[in-house]
Amino acid sequence: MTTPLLQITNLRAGLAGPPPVEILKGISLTIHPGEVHAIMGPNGSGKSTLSKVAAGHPDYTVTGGDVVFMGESLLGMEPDARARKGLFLGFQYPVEIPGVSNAEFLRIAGNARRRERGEEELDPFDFQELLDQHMKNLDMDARFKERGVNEGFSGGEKKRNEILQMAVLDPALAILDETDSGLDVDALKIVSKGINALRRPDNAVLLITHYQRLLDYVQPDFVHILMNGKILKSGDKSLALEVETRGYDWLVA
Amino acid sequence: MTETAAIPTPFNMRATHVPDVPETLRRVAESLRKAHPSPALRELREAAWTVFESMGVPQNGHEDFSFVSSADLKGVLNRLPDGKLLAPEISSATTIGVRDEVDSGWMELLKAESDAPAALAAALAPAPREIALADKDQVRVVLAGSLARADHALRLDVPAHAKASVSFVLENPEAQAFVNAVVYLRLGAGATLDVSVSEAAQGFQLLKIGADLRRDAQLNLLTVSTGSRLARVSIDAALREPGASLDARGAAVAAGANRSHRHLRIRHAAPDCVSKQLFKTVVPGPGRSSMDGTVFVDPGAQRTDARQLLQHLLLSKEGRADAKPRLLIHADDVKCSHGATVGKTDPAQKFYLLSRGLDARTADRLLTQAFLNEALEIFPDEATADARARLMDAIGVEAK
Amino acid sequence: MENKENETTATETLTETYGASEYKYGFTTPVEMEAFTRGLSEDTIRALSEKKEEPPFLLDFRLKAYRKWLTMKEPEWAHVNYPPIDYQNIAYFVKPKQKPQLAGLDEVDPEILKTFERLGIPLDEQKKLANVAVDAVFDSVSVATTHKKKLLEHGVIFCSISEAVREYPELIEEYLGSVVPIGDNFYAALNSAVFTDGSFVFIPPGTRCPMELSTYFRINTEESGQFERTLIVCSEDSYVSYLEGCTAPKFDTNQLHAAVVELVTLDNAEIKYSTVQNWYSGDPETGKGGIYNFVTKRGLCKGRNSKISWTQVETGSSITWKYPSCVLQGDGSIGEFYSVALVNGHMQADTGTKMIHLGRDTKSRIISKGISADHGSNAYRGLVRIGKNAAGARNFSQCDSMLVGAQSSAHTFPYLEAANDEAVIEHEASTSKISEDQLFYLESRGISREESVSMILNGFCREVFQQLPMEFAVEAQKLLTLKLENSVG
Repeated sequence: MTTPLLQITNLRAGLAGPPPVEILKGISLTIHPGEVHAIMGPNGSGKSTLSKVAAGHPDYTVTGGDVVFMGESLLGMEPDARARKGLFLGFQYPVEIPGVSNAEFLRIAGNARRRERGEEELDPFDFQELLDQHMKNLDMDARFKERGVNEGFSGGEKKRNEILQMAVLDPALAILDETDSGLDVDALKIVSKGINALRRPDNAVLLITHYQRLLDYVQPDFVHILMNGKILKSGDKSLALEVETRGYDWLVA
Repeated sequence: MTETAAIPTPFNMRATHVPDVPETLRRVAESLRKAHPSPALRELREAAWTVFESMGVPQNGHEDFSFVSSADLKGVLNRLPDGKLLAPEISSATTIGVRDEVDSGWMELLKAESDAPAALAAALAPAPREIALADKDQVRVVLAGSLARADHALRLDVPAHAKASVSFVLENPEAQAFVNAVVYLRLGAGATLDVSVSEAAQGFQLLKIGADLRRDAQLNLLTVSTGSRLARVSIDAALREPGASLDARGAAVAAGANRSHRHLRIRHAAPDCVSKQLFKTVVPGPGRSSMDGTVFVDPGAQRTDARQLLQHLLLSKEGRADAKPRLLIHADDVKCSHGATVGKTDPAQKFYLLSRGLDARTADRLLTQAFLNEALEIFPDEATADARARLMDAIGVEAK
Repeated sequence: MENKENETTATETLTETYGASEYKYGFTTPVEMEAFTRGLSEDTIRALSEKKEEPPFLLDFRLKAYRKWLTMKEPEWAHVNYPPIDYQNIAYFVKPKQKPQLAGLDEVDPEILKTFERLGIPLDEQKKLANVAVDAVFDSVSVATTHKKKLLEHGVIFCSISEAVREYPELIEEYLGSVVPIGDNFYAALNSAVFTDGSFVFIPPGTRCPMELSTYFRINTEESGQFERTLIVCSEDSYVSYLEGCTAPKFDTNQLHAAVVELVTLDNAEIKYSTVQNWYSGDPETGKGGIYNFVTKRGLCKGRNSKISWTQVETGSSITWKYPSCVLQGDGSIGEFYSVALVNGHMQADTGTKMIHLGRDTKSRIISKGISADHGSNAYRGLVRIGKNAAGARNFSQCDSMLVGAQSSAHTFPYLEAANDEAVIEHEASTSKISEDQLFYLESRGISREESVSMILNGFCREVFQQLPMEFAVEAQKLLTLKLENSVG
């Protein structure tokens, strides 16, 4: 058995407040290299909270349990340190940062990750080449390089930009929070292709989604159903299909 | 009500500050104090006079009167009363408490007064009034001017969680008449007050509205003006406790050679308050308009949401439009924006209407109406129908 | 080509200069100085003029200005606070002891050359900046101007104003005071009476100045004032890009810097004037010391279709009070103002612009970005005036403020005055702080918090930095990051 990439044990967490609100009520989850996991659940089940807690969002506090990533606890680690270590969060609503050029941002972030891994930093020319290649794969127009980060991007463009960042940062574990929301079928195909292209035996993906549609394109090895801050059921791809037809209510009963 | 010290004077390098206080007025104010038997009223007048004396008649270059003719100001403020008792005319006085005696609340308001004409109004008003509004009250107050001068001072209190409305009507019976009024609105926690102000169409008028909003109070205010020889409305609102909200709007047409001056001071003194100011003025002919608005955000007033938009439509070569939108911000977690525009009706919109067969005059009227509508929309259509008609009349005469 | 290796690019030297967050230029240079006794009178002015061997018209100009100044009051309207300045306790003329006229750089005190080298402005022929001509002003006088000969080959005059008074008196007489009249304001009158040196630029018709021109100001002496005067005249169809930079040593007392800059453009001419100001801003904890930067800058677009563009990055001085302005007289002329003003510690800035539209179809654009951190107070003050005859005039203004820390403050005071109905004025302003969401987004991509803040602030200022000559844009960004290092937790 390989060592897990991510091991979440009995995690309790929620909004720091005031007033504090507990959202995750004891979650355990283990992800090994090479695996694709999907977490599904109705609105308000805690899906996005889980991703934000993993990435270290300051609005949330952990009240119990642990999140161990590549053998090291993430709790108490700054968000940027987690990212450099190889954890990537694809945001459901990527924020706009006016005036900060997308290309420059990607180069700084990419090189910070390379430094962390003891790799040579890329000079602007080599980086341009790499970026152009990734952008081509994602069918992104070159003008997105010079625009501000997500500035004036449509919903679909923002999501593609998230996958572009994932490609540049080459994370060990990518948590993709509702990356499929707001995408039409063509865009969904492109984004899925981008995700699949990045899959390797030594990395893993955690998909957080509302619908099973995305799972047609990115095949998960495990599906977990999250409700009321707890994982109620885990299974394989068939569980997603079952939820698709029967909804979530049967799980509670 | 806001601190004058925080308002810097403009680019004017030669601004001097020697209070100009006419001796004759001083004597009148003094005799007025002596004449009245009520100690409370005497005290009120004394406090008001002291405040006025420290400021004097605003002189040329005064930051709060930058676009107002100082000659006109001086001319009317120096006028002497003719001794007639001109009290505000208040409707439905039976359902609301109107007291002639004044309480200590006045002192606080007057001591903080930063508007010289307002302080003078309180010092000279023959019959200051306090109105305690009750829930669902709808009151109409007529503030009439006179050929000499007519000063009015009013205080309206809205108790906690009450909802009331009041309309002020300024009237000048003659072209040379002058009305100078100060109105203080005090909104208790959770109170809602709708205010509409209809200004006189002629003569000289100075109106100051001070507003004090407590927790979750809401003030909706609309001023409607077609200008006059001198028309200045100054709104000075303080959002004192969290959750207070203010929506202040103005729709004006500086008809003919009229003048219309809007002066706004909005102060966010507590966190989580919202203010919106939308003022629109059309200058169809040789008239003159100014809008001068400042938003203050006090230290600690976090999560303030303040928006201000001052817009002018300048439709004639002879007209003049000035704006001074300002922000003074002392808290870091705030959303504040202001905008000011001066321009004609949008040529693209106009062309669109012309291409649909409308004549130029109608197109201009429609676009102007649309321009003013945004401000009028604060209250339901039926409440603003008169105002709308009056504004459109004022444009109709001048529109080219 | 043989000197190529010794030539240093502006980027390299300036990068070194901004290497630490502590104010790096806080040193003084031990040179023997020649100073008048403190104080100001007609006699001091006569002596000054005589010492500089000035023609009678200039003495006359100074005396008129002085008499005017005596009748004027110090302005009080700016949104700044400072104790009264004792104008009789300022040394109005301080210069390094040297021969009255230098034959070459070898005669400049080597200590001074070293100073400028430390500041990243080597004046030495061997090391001078390759693509920028520099006039270096030390306290009251210009000590050296580089690339002079090469410029003269193109007909471009670039020299100290003292030299211009001697060599080109007719140009000085025609243009000096033509944009900023002697009695314009308190500080301009004072400057007109006592200005000691500064730069003069003349671009002949049809000439595009072959390199960036630059003046570097250095205040070295405690209790001295720097009253420099800059005059740039761009003839028909000509262009120049000009950059000024400033530093001063750390003193516990305040030094007064009251400069006057006048720009004139004739038909189709363009002046691009950029400033990176980093005067010593006083002790960040106590606010003690620092420069009072009270400057009058104005450009006159005299000719048709001419253009004046001001770009400023203001990161220093304890108090800044300046409004680089444009008088758009020529039909179709354009005025621009791009500004970044950063205040932290106890700094105060009241800065902005005036755009006076006189001619038809004149256009102006104002982009102002204010950043306030710590106890800093930042005010934008602007005037847009559309004259009666300025049909077709257009203005767009955008003033954004960014607040870093709850003790900081931001103020916006625009004045919009329109007396012509064929004009369009638009003004927008916003105030914001760095959002936690933006920070988290960048951090979640592995960028440290500090670098994230710097990226967001630089993004906020991007529109202005883009206006700077390339080398200086890079430097301005670094300077901003550096200045904020201790303000952002």
